[in-house]
Amino acid sequence: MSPRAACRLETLGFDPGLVFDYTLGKADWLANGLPREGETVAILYAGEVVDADPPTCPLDTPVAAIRQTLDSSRYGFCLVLTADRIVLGRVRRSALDAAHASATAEQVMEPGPSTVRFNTRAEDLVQRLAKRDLKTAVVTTPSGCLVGVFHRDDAAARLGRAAT
Amino acid sequence: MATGIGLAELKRLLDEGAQLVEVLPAAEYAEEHLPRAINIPLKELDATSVEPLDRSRAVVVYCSDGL
Repeated sequence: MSPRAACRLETLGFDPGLVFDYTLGKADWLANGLPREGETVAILYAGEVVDADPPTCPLDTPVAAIRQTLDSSRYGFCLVLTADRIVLGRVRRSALDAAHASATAEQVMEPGPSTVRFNTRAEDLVQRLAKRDLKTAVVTTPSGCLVGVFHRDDAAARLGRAAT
Repeated sequence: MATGIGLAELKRLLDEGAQLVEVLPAAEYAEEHLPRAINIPLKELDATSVEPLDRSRAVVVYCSDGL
């Protein structure tokens, strides 16, 4: 739709050098967690109720260091990120027990964990997770950059408070 | 044909004062839209509806996902 709108502006005499088409559109903007206006701004998005500081590590982190991190954490996993916070994998606590002492995150991680977009409705995600008996979801931007971890129980509690 | 841009270029243009136009129907605009965007639905895009736009400044149009 927007390419045709841009073309129409040019036929209406707008300088082609000053007409641009944000091709990825509103979906991309919202999935990146950027501000929005309108009647539905009160609806909570998944990205608005995440823990933005879950356990993370780079690929070359020794398993001993990951174990230490998780021992002082509510989490049963550690996310493996690049330097610019792209999610590469997830190391579960259970994988650490069987790992050799010299192993690194790269060797024990599950690559490419499932993620959801920032602008997934929190209420919908709570229901989806409950159906699959899952407690958390990893929220990323469209480029795979970590936003945070969505906790089903935390979000349900917040949604409950918002409804009262 | 207009230049297609991504998020980084959009932010730069907005910082420089570009005008933002959502071309989706009014109901979709009312639900949610980008801050400071105005709504001129594609079906209403004509010489009259574009009068509020400043032709000397950049104009960025967007829809749902570019399709």
